[in-house]
Amino acid sequence: MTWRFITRHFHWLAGLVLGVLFHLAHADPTLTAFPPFRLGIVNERLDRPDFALRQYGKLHARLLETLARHNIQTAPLVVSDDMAKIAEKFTSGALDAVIEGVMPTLRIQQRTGVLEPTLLVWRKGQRQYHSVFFVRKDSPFDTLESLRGQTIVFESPRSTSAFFVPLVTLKGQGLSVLPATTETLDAGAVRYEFAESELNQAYWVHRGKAHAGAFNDGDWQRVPEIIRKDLRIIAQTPPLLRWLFSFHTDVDPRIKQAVTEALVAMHETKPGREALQAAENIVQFEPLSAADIDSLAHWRKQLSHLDSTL
Amino acid sequence: MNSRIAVRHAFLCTVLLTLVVSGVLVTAGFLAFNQLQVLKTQLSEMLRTGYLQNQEQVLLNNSAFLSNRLFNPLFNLDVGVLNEEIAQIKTWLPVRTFLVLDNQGQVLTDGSEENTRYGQPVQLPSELDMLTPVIARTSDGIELSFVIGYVDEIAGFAKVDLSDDAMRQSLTSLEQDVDNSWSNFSRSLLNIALLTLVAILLLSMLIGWRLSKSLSHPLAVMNEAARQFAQGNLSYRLPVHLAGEFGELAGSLSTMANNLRRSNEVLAKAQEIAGVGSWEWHTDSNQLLWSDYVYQLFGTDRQAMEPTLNNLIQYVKFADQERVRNLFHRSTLSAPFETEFTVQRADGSERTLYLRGEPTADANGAISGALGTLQDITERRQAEEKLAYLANYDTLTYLPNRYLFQDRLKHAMLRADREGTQVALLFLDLDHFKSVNDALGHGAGDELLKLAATRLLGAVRSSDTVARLGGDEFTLILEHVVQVSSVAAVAEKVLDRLTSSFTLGSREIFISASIGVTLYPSDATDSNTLLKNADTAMYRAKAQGRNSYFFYTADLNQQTQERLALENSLRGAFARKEFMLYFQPQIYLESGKLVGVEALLRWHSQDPSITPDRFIPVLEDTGLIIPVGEWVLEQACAQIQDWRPHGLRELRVSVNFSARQIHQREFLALLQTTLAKTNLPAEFFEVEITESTLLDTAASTEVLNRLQDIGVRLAIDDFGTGYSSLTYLKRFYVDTLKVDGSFVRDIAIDPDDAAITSAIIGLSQSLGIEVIAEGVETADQVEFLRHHGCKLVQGYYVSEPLPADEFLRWVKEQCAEEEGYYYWQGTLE
Repeated sequence: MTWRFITRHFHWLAGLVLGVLFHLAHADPTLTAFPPFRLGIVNERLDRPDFALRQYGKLHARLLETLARHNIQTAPLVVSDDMAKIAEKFTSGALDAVIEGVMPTLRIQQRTGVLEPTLLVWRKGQRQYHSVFFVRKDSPFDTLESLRGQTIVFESPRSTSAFFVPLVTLKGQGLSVLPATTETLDAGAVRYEFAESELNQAYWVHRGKAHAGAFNDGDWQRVPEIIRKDLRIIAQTPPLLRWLFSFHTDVDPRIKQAVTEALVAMHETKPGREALQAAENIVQFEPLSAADIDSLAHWRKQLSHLDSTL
Repeated sequence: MNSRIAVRHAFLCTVLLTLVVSGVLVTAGFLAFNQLQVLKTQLSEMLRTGYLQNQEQVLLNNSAFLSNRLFNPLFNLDVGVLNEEIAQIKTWLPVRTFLVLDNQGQVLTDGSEENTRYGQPVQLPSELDMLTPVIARTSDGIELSFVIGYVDEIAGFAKVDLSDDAMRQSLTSLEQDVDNSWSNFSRSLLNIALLTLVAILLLSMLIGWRLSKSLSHPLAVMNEAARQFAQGNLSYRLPVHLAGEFGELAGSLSTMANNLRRSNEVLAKAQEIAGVGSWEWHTDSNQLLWSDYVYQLFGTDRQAMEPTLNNLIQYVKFADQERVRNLFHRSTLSAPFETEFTVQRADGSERTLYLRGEPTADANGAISGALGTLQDITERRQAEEKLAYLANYDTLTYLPNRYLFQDRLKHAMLRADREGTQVALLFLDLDHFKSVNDALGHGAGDELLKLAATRLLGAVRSSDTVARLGGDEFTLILEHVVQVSSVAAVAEKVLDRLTSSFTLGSREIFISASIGVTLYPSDATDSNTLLKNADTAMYRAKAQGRNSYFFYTADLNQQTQERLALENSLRGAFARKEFMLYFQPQIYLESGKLVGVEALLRWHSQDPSITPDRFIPVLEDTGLIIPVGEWVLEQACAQIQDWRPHGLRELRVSVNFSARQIHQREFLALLQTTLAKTNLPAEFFEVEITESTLLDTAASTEVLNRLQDIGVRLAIDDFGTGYSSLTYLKRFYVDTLKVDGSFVRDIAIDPDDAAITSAIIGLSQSLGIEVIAEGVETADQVEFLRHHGCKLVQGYYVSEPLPADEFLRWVKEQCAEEEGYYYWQGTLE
């Protein structure tokens, strides 16, 4: 009976055996000795714990599937509430990679020294962006300088384009920028508040709750027309890479290579594109170019300057 | 019909009961239905009101919850969260628009990213306050307004436009549920009503049927009986005993059926006896009805033959079909009609039927059909044909008889008149047929006549006529005669054909015929005269010696008249005692001894020229020979006895008897009676017959053998002139042969006659038979006879025939008595 089964299905059994052997020949058996690969992200909605999982679940699953073919084990997605925890995990070696904005990435890199930005992430369809400063049209403010003693609304302390970059830019202009809650006698200081969303920034400015706001040019386009028509841009920052994928420096190069290849090629398949679409409308991953690295260097410098001013 | 009555009664009862009960039920149902309809409307309205109130209460309750939920984001001007909340609320409620207003009553957000109504002022209900949300109904929904606040802090307002589609749908669904329930209820009610109706219908049918059965059953039974009677089933019996009027009616029906059946049986039997069937045809339905006997006429039965015109025609022979079919056309029906036609019956036999009919009319006098009879006339037709045949043909020879002959002769005469030709009529009579008939019997005679008829037919043309008038008399009608010689040729041909021998059984018979010929119109112009002329000529031919023909001449008519006169005279001669016996002596040639006499009949008529040769054949032809023969017998015997006292004690007497006499049943008895009566010993009496009488027939053999028993002598007269069969001489006890006088006459000069005579004498001697030579007239003849051993002679040489007294005188004078015997004293040497 068994022998008859083997002889009858010999052709496809042989193909199966050959396929397994071919796979084993191309997979690196030593990779199985490493601990599972751990990818971390920050949940942007604290009120919705599953928000990040819903965004990055598919992408992580695709990555897990690809890495499995290279005998690379993958751990569940690591979701953190804020960048500080991410930094701690990197420091403790509990994370192997993270997807974040330029400024958070650079700050963790500065803090831990084990972060290595590797891939540029086209988030929300953008490869890069810049932040804009806006005010009501009917306001008297024309420059950043004119904002002295005024209130500016940012999105959140973790936001790159709607906090770090404007903050660095304002400070780069020599302005004193302080949280609105800070008690100070500096009347020329620009006070800032967080509105928790770019949309709120626009409404706050429009309804006069803040004098100015700052976020990236993409957010500007998404402001309702009925609001935007009453607003006016008074300044914008230099371009900034949209998002970054960074490895822990201790990750085995073979694993880095496998992960990099998997992410870079993900947009080439339909399931891959669907996974990217779910994750904040990512178009693709691509390796950092020299210009990108220069841009990062620029912002790393600006960030260092900011930190020195804090 | 029966079932229709029952069904109609049942139907009427059913309908009546159903209508009454259904009417009551429908009225009650209608009232209940109307009440239920009102109840349904009230119920729907109550449900609707309750539902709406419930919905409003839900919204009012929700407004407080929403107010608390929206307070913080509105207070913090967190439009994004507000939008998310609105989106969330829209998943809970059927919100068409959800406007969050600032505390100035202007739109902060409508929940969309575009937020197109941003900043627009919105009118709020005046009664709106922190604790009192307001619900207002619009044409297509509900407008909910409430304050977004906390305790006494008012952050803004919310104005929500809620679609009442869902509510409407719910209400609609509710109403639909009610309607469905109502429909189900109505359907159930209707079903119950239908079931009730069906039950009522069934019950009504049952009741109606029972009522109908009780009323219509007797009618149905009698109706069925009447139907059976109408269909001809008169043996049908009413299956139930009914009471009352129905019973009397049933009894009358049965009596009527019995009477009708009896009448039908009588009629059928009468038709069968009479051989007549009856039929009836209706033009409208083209229906043909007939009695049972008609089936017998067609050799079939009711099951095998449906009474239709087409079926009748199928039995009719093709040649008659069109004629019969034409009788059964409405357009041709006007007067009584009849026809004959031939049918081929089921068994293949053919019958001739006679159909008679006459039209029938309806109440308006219009032709509605016909009725009539059908009769098998096959036997009648055959009898008529046979009768016609018998009337015109001879059953023995199948030749035309006297009547048809007369008819043919008249036609031939008319045709000869038209064509200017002649007709020859030949009257043929077979010679000596009478002797053949007498000697061999009538069976042989009939056979001879048939054979002769065949030969006659073969001797003439097919256009000529051969007829048999009776006996051995035939006539031939030859038409288109131009030359008399051709007629003579035919006569000769006929004679020639007849002279050939006829084979009758194992016997060869030779006959001849005598033919008289007469011609039309030269000899006579009417058929009777022609026939008489031919008959006369035929007698002339016979007189000429037979086996010849003779053409009629005017002279022949005279001879015929004479013969008729002779016959008439002979018929009276016996009564007038004009006959006498003469006796001619027979003597021994050697001694002259008188041994006997031959008694010879003589007629003392007024015409002395009428010799025995003339009148004796006439006596035989007319049958007078019988009484005359008896007289001769008695006279001869008595005379011999009278002579005994005169010394003629051993004298014997010879008497001639014809074959007719010999074959007479009473001949032997007569002979014995006469001998006894006259006391004449038989050995003194000699019966003298001709050779032809000796011909072997059973009758002749019997008679001749009895003669020997009686003891009388037997003599053969005219031996040598006929068949001269020696067999007869050996078979019968013959005492005497008489050599015919024609041989004796020329015995001295004709060697043939001498040779025949001497041969007869020698033969007789060798057989021990006496020989008497007749007609001895001369001494030479006596010498010849003696020389050749003839013992006895008779003739004029001794004595002519003499009357009794003269014979006695002759004996006394010319004979000498010696020892009681008489010896002629004449010269015998």
